[in-house]
Amino acid sequence: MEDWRRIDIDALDPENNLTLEDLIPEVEPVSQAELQQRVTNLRTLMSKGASKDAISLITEQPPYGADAEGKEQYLNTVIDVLTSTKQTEITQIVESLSLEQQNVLFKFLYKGMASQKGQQQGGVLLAWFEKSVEITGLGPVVRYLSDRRTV
Amino acid sequence: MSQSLRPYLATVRASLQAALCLQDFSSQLVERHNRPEIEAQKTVEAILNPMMISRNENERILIETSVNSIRLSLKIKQVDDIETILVSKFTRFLMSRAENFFILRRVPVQGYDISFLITNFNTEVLIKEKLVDFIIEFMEDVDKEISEMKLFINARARFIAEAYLTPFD
Amino acid sequence: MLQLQNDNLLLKKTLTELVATPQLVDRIISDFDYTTFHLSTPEDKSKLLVSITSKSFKDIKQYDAINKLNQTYAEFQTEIVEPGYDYSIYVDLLSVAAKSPEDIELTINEISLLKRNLLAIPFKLAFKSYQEQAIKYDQSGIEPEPSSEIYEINYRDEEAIYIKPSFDRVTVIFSTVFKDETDKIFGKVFLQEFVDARKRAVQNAPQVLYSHKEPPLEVRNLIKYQADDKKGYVTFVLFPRHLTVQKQDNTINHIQLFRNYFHYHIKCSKAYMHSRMRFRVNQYLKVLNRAKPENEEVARKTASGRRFNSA
Repeated sequence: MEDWRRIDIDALDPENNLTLEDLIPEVEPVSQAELQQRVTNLRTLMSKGASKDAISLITEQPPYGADAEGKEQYLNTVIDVLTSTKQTEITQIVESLSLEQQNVLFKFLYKGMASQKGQQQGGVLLAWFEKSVEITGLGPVVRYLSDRRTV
Repeated sequence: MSQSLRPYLATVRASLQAALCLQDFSSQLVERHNRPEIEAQKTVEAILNPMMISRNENERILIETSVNSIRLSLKIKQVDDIETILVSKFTRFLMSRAENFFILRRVPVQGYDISFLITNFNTEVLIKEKLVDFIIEFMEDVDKEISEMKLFINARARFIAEAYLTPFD
Repeated sequence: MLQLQNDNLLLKKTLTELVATPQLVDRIISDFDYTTFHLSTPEDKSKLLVSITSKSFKDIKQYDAINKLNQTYAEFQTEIVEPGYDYSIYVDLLSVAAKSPEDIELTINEISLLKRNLLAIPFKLAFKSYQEQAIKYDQSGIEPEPSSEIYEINYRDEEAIYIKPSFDRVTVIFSTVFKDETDKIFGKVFLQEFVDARKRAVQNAPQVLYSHKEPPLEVRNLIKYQADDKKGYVTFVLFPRHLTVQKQDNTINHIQLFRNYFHYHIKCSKAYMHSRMRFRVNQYLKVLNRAKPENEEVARKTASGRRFNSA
């Protein structure tokens, strides 16, 4: 052993070597095909005008396990669904969601606002947010902040 | 207040209220130090998901959160040269007085016009609700101020031009 | 103060005082465009030497400036030119004081317009050339060949005035430099209004054109220039209505000061902007200070005036 006094023992402590990956909980991977299937389902629901079912489907199975590209595609579809929903229906839809589903909805809203496409539709997402937060309170916002599983 | 401004501000208000849950947190790297974790960016477990709220492509706000501090960056609407110059002048003016605005950051985050840094020490002393009020009022006002200044310059330019050209006749 | 004055106020005041009570003086007075006056009494307190130096002088000199100024100031003509200055007149204060009050005022005004008269020389020449060409055109009915006649006055470090007479108009071109980005953008807004003002409100004004970087076609071949992002060119087209004998002086008075007027008002707007921002910043501070909790609890005392001990 060379000069053991110079070894940085802190670097060897696993506690000090937490990386972002370590913090993300295990999630089930979602394959590209599966995601594609969901997108198709959503499109069908959207064309039928069944926004409520579409939103419920979106929030039921968040694509935590998909890769970045897949998530991006999925988000685009979600934004489409959100935009096609009538403003007057929003309150009713959010009320029908379970707590877990509301959390997922907020994740999509924040992600949407950060994306190029969402920025173009800024007004719609903001309206969604405003109406939802009235019902849910700040809970889902805080849970969005601290949840490492992203959509 | 315009149609899209109200939901925008409401969203920012809700997000800020949620994000401003700060507590004292000692540095995990250096003993007896206490740093705003969002600025240090060294301790991954202390940093939370960032929130971006956009009104449109040109106006957005980024709230980066951590356990003991949040960083809030604002992108102000600029449609032409004159607005760009006014915004940069105005924000520079504010930032050079950051000493008095204890929550103002002296340099904005890349890609934004002005940034605030709120730490747990701020929220311990200050009333959280009023802090949020300040941010909201600032956002509301800054647009108004910029467009008023722009109008003023145009009006002044017109007056000056006419005053100069009239005596030729 | 909206309009700038052609005469030099300080020069005028000093002269008025000196005519009333002659005394020994040695004064340096500055004006726009690197112009400096020097007032001194080298021999006697009643004999005042007024000298001027100006950046534009070396260009104007070639238009027979000294003779022309001597004509204007025949009364005070002198052989000497003070070293370091371009032109001098020697004023006998006693003989001025002996005049009637109106004449005194006239004389003083004339002297305080020294800078204006100097810069007016090339304008007058250009206007004369325009008149000659116009008469020729009236007689022959043939449009004269566009001449390459151009008066160039480099009156500041990087800025110049170009005057180009033609048979139906006189074109005056100012090149101007914007020192910083803000000035440039403010300048653009202002110039746009100059261009538009004619269409909107003052139909009889000279036509104003503005070009950035590249000088206008009329003078592109005649002047030496480099494409420069900071430079702008403002063109005034003076029409015959501005060039009549009665209007000439007024036009010269006015157009001479364009650059100063223009930059002066840009600075004014900036100053206003700053005071406005200052006010705004104070307001924001007030809002932010609302977040500070109300003043700490006042120390409580017992009825007899004793304090509570916290320990």
